[in-house]
Amino acid sequence: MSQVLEPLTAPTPEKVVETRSQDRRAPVYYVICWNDPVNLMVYVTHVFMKIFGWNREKAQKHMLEVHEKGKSVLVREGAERAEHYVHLLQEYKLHATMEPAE
Amino acid sequence: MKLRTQARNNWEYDLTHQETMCLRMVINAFPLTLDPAKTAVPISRTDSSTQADERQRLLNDSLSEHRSQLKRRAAVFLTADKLKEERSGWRLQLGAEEREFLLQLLNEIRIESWRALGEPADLELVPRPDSHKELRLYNLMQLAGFFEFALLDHEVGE
Repeated sequence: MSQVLEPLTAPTPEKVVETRSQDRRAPVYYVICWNDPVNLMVYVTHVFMKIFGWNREKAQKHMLEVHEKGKSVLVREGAERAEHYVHLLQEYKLHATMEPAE
Repeated sequence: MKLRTQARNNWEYDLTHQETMCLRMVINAFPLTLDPAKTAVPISRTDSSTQADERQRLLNDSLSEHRSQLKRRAAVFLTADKLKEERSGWRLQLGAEEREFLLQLLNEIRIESWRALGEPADLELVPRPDSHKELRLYNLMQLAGFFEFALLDHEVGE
């Protein structure tokens, strides 16, 4: 029978509440890809797969949304990551922006 | 231009003599626009926060550096033994990262040509035959698109 070891001291509680409250206040952004007549559909699908690691089905769904509805919300992220994604998408010459979610 | 083989991170394409000549011509045309201000794209349409201007500046700097990298790499790409002549045409060998670079470069050329043409909504509208500059831009835009499609064509059916 195995022996159960009790901790000698109680674990120190982390300041979870404070961190969560900071996260809640942090601004959130939508990364949006807008339609244009020049980027090839196969290229847009490829870029979405490359940058977001999506499978072809998901990438094509967003590509078609851009093509048919004029735009697609790709991800919802904090400012830093949203900015990072916009940089990557624009390096591929896609028309991408970050817009405040609230 | 057709995919000959693909093995993990290596792609090989077959090109005719004419396609090879066109690919060299398209790559050598980069960059079309030297003024970075003409290639700037807004980072946001609605963000009015205090950080928006700084974000725009960072994006402009980042895109400018990216274009410089593309320019440096484009200059050596065609001399880096990527294209090898064979009896019936040419063979283009690309690693995964090189293929990604070539796609970005071709699309940069396609978008720059399109912008220089005045961002037409109808891409099939051929410019007047007496406008040499517009014809050149039109041909670059269409050729860059042709090679992009050829690089990615096999992915469509996957």
